[in-house]
Amino acid sequence: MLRVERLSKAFGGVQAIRELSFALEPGRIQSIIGPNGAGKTTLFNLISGVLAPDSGRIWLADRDITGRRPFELARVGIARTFQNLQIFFNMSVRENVMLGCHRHLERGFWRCLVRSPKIARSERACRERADEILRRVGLAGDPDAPAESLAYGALRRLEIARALATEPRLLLLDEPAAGCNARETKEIDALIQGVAADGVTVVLVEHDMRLVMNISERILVLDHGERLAEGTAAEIRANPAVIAAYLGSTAAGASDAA
Amino acid sequence: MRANWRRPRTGGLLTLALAIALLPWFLPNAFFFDVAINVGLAAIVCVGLNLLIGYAGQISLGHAGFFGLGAYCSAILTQRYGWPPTLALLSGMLLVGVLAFAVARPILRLRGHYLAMATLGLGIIIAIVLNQETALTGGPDGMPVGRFAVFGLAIDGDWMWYWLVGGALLVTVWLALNLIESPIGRALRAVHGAEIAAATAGVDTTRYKVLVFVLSAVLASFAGSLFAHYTGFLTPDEATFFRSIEFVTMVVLGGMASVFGSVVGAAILTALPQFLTVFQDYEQVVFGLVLMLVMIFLPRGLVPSLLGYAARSG
Repeated sequence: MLRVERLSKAFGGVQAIRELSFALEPGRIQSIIGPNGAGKTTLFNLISGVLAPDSGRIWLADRDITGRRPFELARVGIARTFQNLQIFFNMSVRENVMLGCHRHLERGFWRCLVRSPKIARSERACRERADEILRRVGLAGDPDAPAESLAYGALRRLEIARALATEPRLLLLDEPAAGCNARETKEIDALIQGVAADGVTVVLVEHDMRLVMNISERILVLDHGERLAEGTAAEIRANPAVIAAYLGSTAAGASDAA
Repeated sequence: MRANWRRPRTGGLLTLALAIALLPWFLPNAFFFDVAINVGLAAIVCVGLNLLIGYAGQISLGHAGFFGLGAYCSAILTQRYGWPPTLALLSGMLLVGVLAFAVARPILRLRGHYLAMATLGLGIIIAIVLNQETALTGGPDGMPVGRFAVFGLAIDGDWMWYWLVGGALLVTVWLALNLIESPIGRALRAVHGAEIAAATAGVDTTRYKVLVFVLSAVLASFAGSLFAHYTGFLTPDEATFFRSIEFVTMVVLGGMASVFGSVVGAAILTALPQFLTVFQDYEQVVFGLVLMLVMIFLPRGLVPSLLGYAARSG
């Protein structure tokens, strides 16, 4: 599915990602964990084209996608959410999701300029699709409300909804449960499992170990931009290097919960 | 297509059409016609500029340059080379479109307000060229421009000009509203709201920023060409930096991301200086003051603030 080969990225003197290689298998939920500054978000920025790598290559199903721009990557099926929310606060809840449909829509300039019937039809279908996705993520309440009226946890789900609207093959979720309470986290857990069941490959960066251990089929542990370990939840929990670098005493709590 | 009368666009469009149709019957003399026609021309520029500033969140400080370039294209091609006015007008739009594209394409790949700086420079360069190329433009002394004609029909007199400009404004507003309510309009607002998120959701942000910049420049050129024929005499004053600031002030006063706001902003700031003679000497100061006061007290602009107030109270 996604293959990363000897990827490196530095910011000034800080080596955020160092010679990192790994591969993701299709249709699974995989997590990337590690201490703050391990390079998790940088890795997402590299895969989604927000940043260009210094060296190394990224492959999506045998296609070299290194250095492609974000909108091109969206069009080959990579979608993402953001740790620090990137919501269109100048739009309604529904419009935020409709924007995600962009690449599938009729959008020729001259057609838009005279609002041809084709545009009107395509917009109607997009609207229905957006409402369907909003129902799926549990935000069907008031789609016409401004996005800024939503609570924090709901905004996280709105980002997921927008990402789903692009109809991705690979979905990168950057801390989807950050700032969510236990009930919201459970909802997000169920939502992610549902998305994966539809055949979307999901990659999760998350600090909520309960969620990570519960949901992930494989886990990649990063430390200082390098791979520290990779394996199933049980293997990671038992790995002494991981415990020392990251899990520490929380490992015990997480394994009790799982 | 099904019309929905309760949608603000349909109501707004009807109101504007009605206002344009009824207004001339209340205009007492040629002076008022002149103000109304100038309002219409400024409004065409501002509707285009608002697509760029209010919707896409990019700032241009050089739109008077495009206005002036369109105006001089029409003037020079008709006066010096004998081209038909419509062909000259279209050529001006094409030239300005190509120029805007060439300037915007490298700059708008970047995020941030680089466009403001680039257009500031471009506008000043255009003004200098218009002043210096005396053989073509007549320099600071200006040059006369002949009558406008559409397919052989000469546009002459207050009434004909009024209908031509009013009709052009109505069509411009209609096209702008269509664009805003299309996937392109949504993409523009997304670029304004969170550019990185728009890009990762599949929007070619550079393409849309360039598109709307070129479109707004072409509209300014169109209005400039009409203006040249309407006034009949052109000086480089029309292309100065101060004129660019005027256009931006009109957009901000009327309301960012409000097409009808731009018409209102253009109307107020075109008409007021004509009626308040104190404006004449202190025009630049007053425009600066209006810009500051609106930014502080009505950051959303007149029309969105009033609509919001009406919605809350009714």
